[in-house]
Amino acid sequence: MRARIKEVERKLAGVVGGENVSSDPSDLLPFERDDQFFLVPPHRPDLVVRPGSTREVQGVLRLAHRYRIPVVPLASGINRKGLCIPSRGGILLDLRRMNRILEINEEMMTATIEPGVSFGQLVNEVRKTGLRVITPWAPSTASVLANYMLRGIYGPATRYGTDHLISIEVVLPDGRLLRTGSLNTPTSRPLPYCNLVNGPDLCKLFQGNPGTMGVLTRGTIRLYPMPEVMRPFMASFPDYESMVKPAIELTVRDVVEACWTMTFTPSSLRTLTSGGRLEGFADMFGGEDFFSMWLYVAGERERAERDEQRMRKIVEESGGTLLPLPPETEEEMIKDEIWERTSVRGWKKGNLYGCSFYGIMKLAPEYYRACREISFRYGFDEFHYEAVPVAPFHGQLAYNDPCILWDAGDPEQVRKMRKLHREIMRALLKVGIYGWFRPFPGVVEGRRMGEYGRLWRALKDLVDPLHLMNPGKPPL
Amino acid sequence: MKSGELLRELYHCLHCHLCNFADWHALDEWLPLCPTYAYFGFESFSASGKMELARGLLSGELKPSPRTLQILFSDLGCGACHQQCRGLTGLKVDHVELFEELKARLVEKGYGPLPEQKAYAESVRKNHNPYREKHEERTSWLERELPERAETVYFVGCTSSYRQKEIAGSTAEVLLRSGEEFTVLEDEWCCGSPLLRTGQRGLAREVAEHNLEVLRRAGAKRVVFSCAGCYRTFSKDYPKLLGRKPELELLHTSQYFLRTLSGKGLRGNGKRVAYHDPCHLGRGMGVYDPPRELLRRICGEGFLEMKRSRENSWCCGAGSGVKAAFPDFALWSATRRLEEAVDLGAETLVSSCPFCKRNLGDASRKRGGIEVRDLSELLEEALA
Repeated sequence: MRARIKEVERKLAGVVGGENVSSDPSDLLPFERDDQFFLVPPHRPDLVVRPGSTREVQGVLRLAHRYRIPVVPLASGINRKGLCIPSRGGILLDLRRMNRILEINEEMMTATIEPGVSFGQLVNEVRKTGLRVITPWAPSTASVLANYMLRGIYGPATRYGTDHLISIEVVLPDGRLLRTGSLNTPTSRPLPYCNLVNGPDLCKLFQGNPGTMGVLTRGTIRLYPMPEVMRPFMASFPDYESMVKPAIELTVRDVVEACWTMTFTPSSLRTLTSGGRLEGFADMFGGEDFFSMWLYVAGERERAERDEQRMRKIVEESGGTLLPLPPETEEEMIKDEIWERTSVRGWKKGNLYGCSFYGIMKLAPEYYRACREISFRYGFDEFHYEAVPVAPFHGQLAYNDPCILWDAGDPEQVRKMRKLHREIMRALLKVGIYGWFRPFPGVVEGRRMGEYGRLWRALKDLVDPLHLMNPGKPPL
Repeated sequence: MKSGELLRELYHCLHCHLCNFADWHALDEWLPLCPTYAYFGFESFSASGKMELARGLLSGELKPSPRTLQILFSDLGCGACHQQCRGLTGLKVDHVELFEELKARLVEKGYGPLPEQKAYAESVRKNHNPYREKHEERTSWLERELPERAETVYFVGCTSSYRQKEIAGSTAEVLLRSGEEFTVLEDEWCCGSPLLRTGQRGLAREVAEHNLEVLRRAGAKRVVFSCAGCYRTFSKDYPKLLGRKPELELLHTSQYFLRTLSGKGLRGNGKRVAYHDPCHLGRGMGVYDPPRELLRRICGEGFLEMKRSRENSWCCGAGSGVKAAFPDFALWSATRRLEEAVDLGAETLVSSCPFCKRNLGDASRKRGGIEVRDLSELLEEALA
């Protein structure tokens, strides 16, 4: 086996250059686990390869195909939920050298980029044009394409939703190249700006897959006008129920671009605000959970002013109280909305458990209560919950995330967390949810999905008959 | 931190990679900050990659290879990663201390340091400096008689004693003109910084004991350093090595001169000057303002601030034995820094550490287009 790996390594060096391949354990070890290691056991790749172009990715995949070696693509290295853990070893395809912004097209309101381009990098360039990148509630170091492919949750998802990808170029498992949408139309010039042509949008076939169907090498994404005015607000409410009606109304009437209903236990709030400007804030609530709504009004000045008045009225009529924000907090919230940075504070306890899913906005209080009860029963009192209405809001689509601040360095907590995770999943399915957001491997049980699951497996067999692409990963 | 506690803490790095970039909320710009990761490119060279290596080494999961040594001994110890991480995430480890600790443990077990780094430790043992120069020539730069004993001692450091003698000369000149009596040590030894940064702790305690003893004999009450590395080593490492804080007032020259030159006129030089924060002085010791205040007095409007400055400063690339073992990387990092200053329109890039000047100067000689000076040199000219 070792000799075979060495042989492949030599051949890979011929494709990407010897300086971009390694089988040394020191280069492999950093990829063997992520912060959800308690649910997805660590496993090391055999090789790490750093291609610099689509042609090199094709060369790597052809070799992998010939030698029957699994390939796990990784775009920016923010490896979460075990999605890039090479459970069967093989090649860890680190795409960070492919970090070129190929085009920012102001007229078309698009950007065409490679997978190694991070949100920070793209926002930095796009801001110069007066346009805006829709950024996720994740560090700006995250890959734009990986995030859009896996459908992240975005600050302004209430107005802009989660679908920002138009067309893609994918290297298939045997090295062939597939282009989707208008990229495929035989015109005299490449036009990647439309996904509505040439039959069903095959881009969607590859979304929600962590590289299980191929390797994305470029994509064209949607950009949006940068609003003239953006103002963040924070409102407190007496309980979760009282936040639901205003959240729905603010979304349906398109009053705000972002509406995050968030609740924190006092101990979670204490940890999250420790050492920051809001330290001591938790003590104001006398041991009760803090129920809050984080809102952003944004748009052209006149509209923003009008929306602010409407928002104030809706919040106040629902029993909410708008809290004064220190200017520094307001500034930080705006910067986070445009290009995120501070969400990593969620890890202030050391680790953050999340079991995010899509559900129905009006059921958010039920989800919250079920998860909170389980969290406390297992001794985790640093709990917080968030539910965000997502556009288009049909079906009261809401992103939900029960979060627990915990310490993965404590083996006892690790044991508890494994049990808690199973229990939370069962409880949520009992309340009724649409499905899991970017699930952990094994969460979606394809075999319980009847014909839908069978078709998925048939498609996978068709595209990746040797099952070499990121084996063992969701959706099925 | 004991191994068990450390191992537990390492699970708290979530691989967000914010440590590789300057604080874009503060700077309003997306700029890389980790020279090692930017140059070598593999995840293993990033701070989060090295966290995993630490986990592997401490748990016994990873057997050190030559590549392990390349990764760990190319770490600059600049502290940029720690600066970004602390306060934002829950990780309580000090990255600089952790990576130094790893190097030390490897050396204890017979792995590393790299041959070039080992060679200068041998020279420190033999010559009391890492440059293989004769100890008796340590003060060859000194052109005047100084008292044998004084309350203020200028600790020159090896680089200014043997390689950047103009810094030693200028510093002594400014000290004289500031009107306070001072001396230098005939029997000054390497402070131990090059040893500590490369895991060679064994000899470091001996040099620390020696330096404090000769300072005691010289009647020192205060020690002034023109070298940021020596200053940090005395201030932060000696107490750990010896289990006691030196009973001395320790000051970098920028702090000392800000105090002693407060009433003195400084002649403007009319140049456009950018300031490079030495990592040991800035992130290492939190000294950001004194050099800037002095430069503003000399350059006025000509003082320019680079985007990556203060806590978000880009390392020159020389520290922790990197210049000796990875000269191409060191030069690359310094060249990026020069380009930043040139893009800003600076004619001169000023630092307050002889090792920064040495590396940035090498890059400048190769690239051209900007001169590299030490703060002490500008002060000497401004007092002339």
